[in-house]
Amino acid sequence: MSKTVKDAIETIPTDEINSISLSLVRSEILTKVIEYCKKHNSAQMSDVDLMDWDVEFANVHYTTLFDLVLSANYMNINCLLDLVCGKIADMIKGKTPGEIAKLFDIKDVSTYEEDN
Amino acid sequence: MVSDKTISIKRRKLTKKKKKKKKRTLTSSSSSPSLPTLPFDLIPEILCRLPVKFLLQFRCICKSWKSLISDYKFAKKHLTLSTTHTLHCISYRDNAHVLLNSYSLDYVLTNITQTQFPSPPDSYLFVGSCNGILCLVREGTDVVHLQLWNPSIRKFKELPPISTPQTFVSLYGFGYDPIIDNYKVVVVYSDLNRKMELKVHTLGTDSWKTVSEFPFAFVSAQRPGQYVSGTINWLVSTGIKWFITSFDLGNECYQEVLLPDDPCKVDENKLSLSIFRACLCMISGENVWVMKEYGNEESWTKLFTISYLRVPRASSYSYIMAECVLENEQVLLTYNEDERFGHISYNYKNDTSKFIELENFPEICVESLISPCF
Repeated sequence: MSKTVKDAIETIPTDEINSISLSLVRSEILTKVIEYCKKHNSAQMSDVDLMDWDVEFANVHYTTLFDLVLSANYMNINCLLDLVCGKIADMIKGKTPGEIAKLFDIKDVSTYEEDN
Repeated sequence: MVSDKTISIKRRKLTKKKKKKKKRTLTSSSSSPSLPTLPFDLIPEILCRLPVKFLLQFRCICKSWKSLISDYKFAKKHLTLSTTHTLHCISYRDNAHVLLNSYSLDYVLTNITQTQFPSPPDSYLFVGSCNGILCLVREGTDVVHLQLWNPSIRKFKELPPISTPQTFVSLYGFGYDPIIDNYKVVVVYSDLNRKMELKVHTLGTDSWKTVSEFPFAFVSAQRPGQYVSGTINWLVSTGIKWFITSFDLGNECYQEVLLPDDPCKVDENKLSLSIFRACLCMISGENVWVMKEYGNEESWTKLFTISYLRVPRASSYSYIMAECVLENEQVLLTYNEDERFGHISYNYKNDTSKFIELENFPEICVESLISPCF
């Protein structure tokens, strides 16, 4: 499911590899990513149940969501990236420009009003 | 002088670890959690999932977001994920202005916005829509004026007028040419020699180009063409049979596409061509067909049938027909009662109907950030 891991496995000869270093992924986040991949690979759940499970999975705090986005992007897991980006998009819909600037750590905040 | 550095380097070489065969594991670093800053290249992944109205608000956050949201490549990415379909209808109730009533396509068809049409008050018709841009026409005596408008982002473009020797322009069409990644408007009319000409306007240019003679002599047709897969499609009749004339915007060539039913036996009054989920949709009598694979006549598939008699008060109407299929298992019906037209949204799964107040025939399109202005 992770293209990054798949590429690593495919390019490095098997007897030389002992660990794949994912230095940008925190251990708690990696646990969640593995949980997601296992669930999506298990084929035990129906599509509807899996969708419900995804909703629950993504129902976390911004910090975890952002970490998941970074990890999914780094590990190249497209379906997880879609899920988490969709969740973040939903959550920012009601936010003011000031709140969004803070959330995304935007430094060069505009002072002009949006033009129509 | 032998420095400590030299000795330490040697030491490092001597202590190089031996590789052991271990079970493959994934390891990660640990650090204290705080809200990470997302790199800018991940921002489009999030923003492209937002409806247009939020993106327009977020343009004011900072220069890089404004630049991103105004970027054509981002608009295209957003379009691929855009699922918000809107039903637009022209209204002449206000004497001073032409208005566009836009309804969100949900179960209830709620009225969401009313926008002023940025063109002189006159009678307008929908030519079609594509990728969030509406195409409208104002027919004058010897001249025809076409406009492109994306009401979601309020970008409007008046096209160069096209002079037509007769007052009656036969066919119109608007669509996207994937070969040049641009939009084209097509007009078919008969010239002074009674030859049927097809003219094309490519967005960004300032003129109309004569392409070729329209190859089919027809006696009646559904005037606005339907855009699908880089082609414009018109339902035409030679007087003997009905079929679809397809014009490929990229190659600028014609093709005849056959209908699913017997083309000589269709009921003209209950025949319409539309688009449903990016496929040609043919409504013939009670049958609703969809061409699952464009151009492949074997792929015409009957989706469902409409029982007109189940529509409330159907017997009191002099005329009732289905125009197009809406999402959520609904069909848009047009009826005529006492010489006045009305519209009904009919749910074919549970047989429920709802009257819809529409002044004129509507146009349904997806919302997008794509601008008709260059």
